[in-house]
Amino acid sequence: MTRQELFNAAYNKAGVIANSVIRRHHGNIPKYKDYPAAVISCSAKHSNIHKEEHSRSCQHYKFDFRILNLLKVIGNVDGPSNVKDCNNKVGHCAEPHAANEMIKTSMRLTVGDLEFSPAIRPRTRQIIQYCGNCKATFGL
Amino acid sequence: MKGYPYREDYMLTHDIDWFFCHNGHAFHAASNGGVIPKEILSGMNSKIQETVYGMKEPEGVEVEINEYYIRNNVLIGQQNNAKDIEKQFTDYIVSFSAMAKKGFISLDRKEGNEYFWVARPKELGKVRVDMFDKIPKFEKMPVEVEILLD
Repeated sequence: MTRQELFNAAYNKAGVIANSVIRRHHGNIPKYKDYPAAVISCSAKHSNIHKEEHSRSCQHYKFDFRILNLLKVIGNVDGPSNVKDCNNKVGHCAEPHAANEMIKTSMRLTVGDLEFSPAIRPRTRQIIQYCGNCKATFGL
Repeated sequence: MKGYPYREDYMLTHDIDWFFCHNGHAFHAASNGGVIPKEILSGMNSKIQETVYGMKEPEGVEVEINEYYIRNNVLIGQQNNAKDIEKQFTDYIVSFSAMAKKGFISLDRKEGNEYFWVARPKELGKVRVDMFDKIPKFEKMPVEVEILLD
């Protein structure tokens, strides 16, 4: 996928989430109670598959060993990271969630194959910077 | 008030609408992945959110947007052509503008505890928020806002 296609996928997902937050007050069962802080789309080189995910806790979430091994470099999953100036807990960002969903689609994939869209804030659809944890983990 | 303060991991991964009153004005704030005051209890805030989202926008309320600040500080470097810039601006203000139409001074978080105003009713004080009494009141402003009311 091109970077523009990945961006569009993330942008559309951000819109779906934002509308869901707003609609929850019109009698629908809310899937999203509050806006997530960020949404991202992840794909792999030479693949048309893409996965969109948002920032959230990973308390009840199982990472594939390929992602887990990378995350362990910056700290224990669900704990504080050792990356300077990054307050986000390890594994809580949208990036590792999306990477995990993408990498699970094939045992042949490695982390080096993964490509990411820019991170988008669903409330405003603005592009936001990758955090220190994600820069360190995925080389963004 | 019922409920518990928000969990830290939830706050850091979400962009929560929270509300407070100060000095006779009602404020809406978008947490943007930041920590919100412990006085804002999740159960109560959730009820306030539902009521606010369900409120009809009163007619005739004109909204003022902090356009100069947003264009020059928030959206700078986002898109590279005029059409995209306008779309980005519209996307950005929509949720804050809706809050201002309902009578709130609407704030977005910049970093740490620093916020800036995005939208507010043009005639402050003339719009009364329906559920003013249920919103937590703070004697001291709970967030830092640069040039709030000029």
